[in-house]
Amino acid sequence: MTLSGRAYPGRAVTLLKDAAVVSSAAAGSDGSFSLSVSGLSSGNYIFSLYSEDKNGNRSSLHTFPVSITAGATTNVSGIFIAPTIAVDKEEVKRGDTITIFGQSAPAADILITVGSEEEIVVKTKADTGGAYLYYFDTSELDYGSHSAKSKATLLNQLLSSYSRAAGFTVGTKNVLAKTGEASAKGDINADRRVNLVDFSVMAYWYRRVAPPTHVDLNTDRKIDLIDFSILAYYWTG
Amino acid sequence: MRKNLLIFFLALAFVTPFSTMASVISVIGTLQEVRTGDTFMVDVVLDAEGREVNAIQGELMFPPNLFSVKAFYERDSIMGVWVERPRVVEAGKLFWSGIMPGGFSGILGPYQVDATPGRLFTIQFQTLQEGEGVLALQSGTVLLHDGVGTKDAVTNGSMTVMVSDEAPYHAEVRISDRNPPEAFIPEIVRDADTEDGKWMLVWNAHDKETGISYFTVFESPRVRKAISEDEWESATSPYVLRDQARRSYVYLRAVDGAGNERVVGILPERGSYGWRDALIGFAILIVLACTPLLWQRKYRSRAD
Repeated sequence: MTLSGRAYPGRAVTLLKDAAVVSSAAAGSDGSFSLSVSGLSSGNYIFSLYSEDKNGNRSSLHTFPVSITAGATTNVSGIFIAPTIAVDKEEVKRGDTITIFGQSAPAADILITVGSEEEIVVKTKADTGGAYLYYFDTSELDYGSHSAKSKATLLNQLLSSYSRAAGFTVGTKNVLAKTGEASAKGDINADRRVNLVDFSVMAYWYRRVAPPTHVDLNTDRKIDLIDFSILAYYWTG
Repeated sequence: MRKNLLIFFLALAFVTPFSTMASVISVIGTLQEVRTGDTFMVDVVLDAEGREVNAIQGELMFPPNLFSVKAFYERDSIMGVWVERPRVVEAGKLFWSGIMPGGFSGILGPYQVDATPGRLFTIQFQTLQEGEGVLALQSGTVLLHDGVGTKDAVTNGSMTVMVSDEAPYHAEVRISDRNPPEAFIPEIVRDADTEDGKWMLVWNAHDKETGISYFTVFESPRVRKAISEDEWESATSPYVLRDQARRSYVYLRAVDGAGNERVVGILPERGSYGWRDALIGFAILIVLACTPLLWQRKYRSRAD
């Protein structure tokens, strides 16, 4: 089976098969990539792809369950990895600008959606290295919590899914976003991956009393299907 | 007349329920009439109706006087990781739950245009006596792939199976499976808040034909070329290692529904117990055994 598409130039694209990492390859300078998996028996497989930008931000998983027939070559093309997204402030003073930035394929058209109950949509373009940046005027936003997410189109042919959401607050002061290697949600053992190890720790606390707070992802003092669902969303393999 | 027709169609629009977008969990089988003593198979299937979901659990009710569960097959399951594998939790009720990391919205294939529903697992029932039995899904929970575990609306399906000595003969369906479970890599990990920080073995495995039936573990101080059946210990992930010093070889066996197996071995982290350890242990025993004698000789000489 061969999977191909566009990701971030020069960055590794990681392939998961049934939630476990099986392959990785670097995208070219134009963002194009190709990965192959061989020796598959007939059946349904869940394949997922993601990439990571130079700042360590991971894309959302691009997942597609595929039916494989033994002896036949299956090609999946036109995959477009969703952009990464981040903001420069945790809290922004209303009326000031917040910088929204991330990574996509070179020269991709980026659509950024900002807001909470009401959404504001703005456009920008990624540069030749695939990086994009937008200075967003927060005067139109209400006080409170908001989020930004982005998606990309390329050559009017490829359309990515939405990125993960980057959250921020509109308030009365500016607070810069923390930099450094913060653990992602679901990264229970803080190894910068969300995978079977984190699942196993969570599975240990399933239906047990008083789970540790770093395992209880929705802080409702119990481990149930909702915690596993949140883990599945942030899965990296 | 036209006014009456308009009123009629308007009324129909309000009376007829709008189609609600909801995930559908169905129980599907090809046989609806089965002879007493025969077996039949049904699939439990998820149709996410085009939305992205990533977690599901549910119950299937069945009349225990008419049917007994002979086997579960996780073949071709879309479930990425089981939280609880399908099992009978009480008479007439089975339960399952699991997640699909990265989300699931439907299966793509080269022979269809749209994505199709995915199979969660297959149940083989044994019929016990004549009667009409309903297999009914209930308490189905499907969560959206949105990072917060939002519940999706769920429609639970059902099907009816008639058990009768007058039913047509059907050959028992056998799932052919000659391949071992797919290759997988277990890991040995520990977490400070789990089992007091003890070392645990964690793993996940799949089999695309009959599905995984069970796992067993064996720890040995020496490398083993063969392990007898009574040495294996039934295990589920996470499994707390007996040898917390991690000087043993750990063997993990995955067995599928047809009895095919795959064994994976993990080397000890530290040197395994060998002849040097035995020599040191023997020397320590000698010293301990001689210490009381030496004390006695010392006190006797003083007394003298």
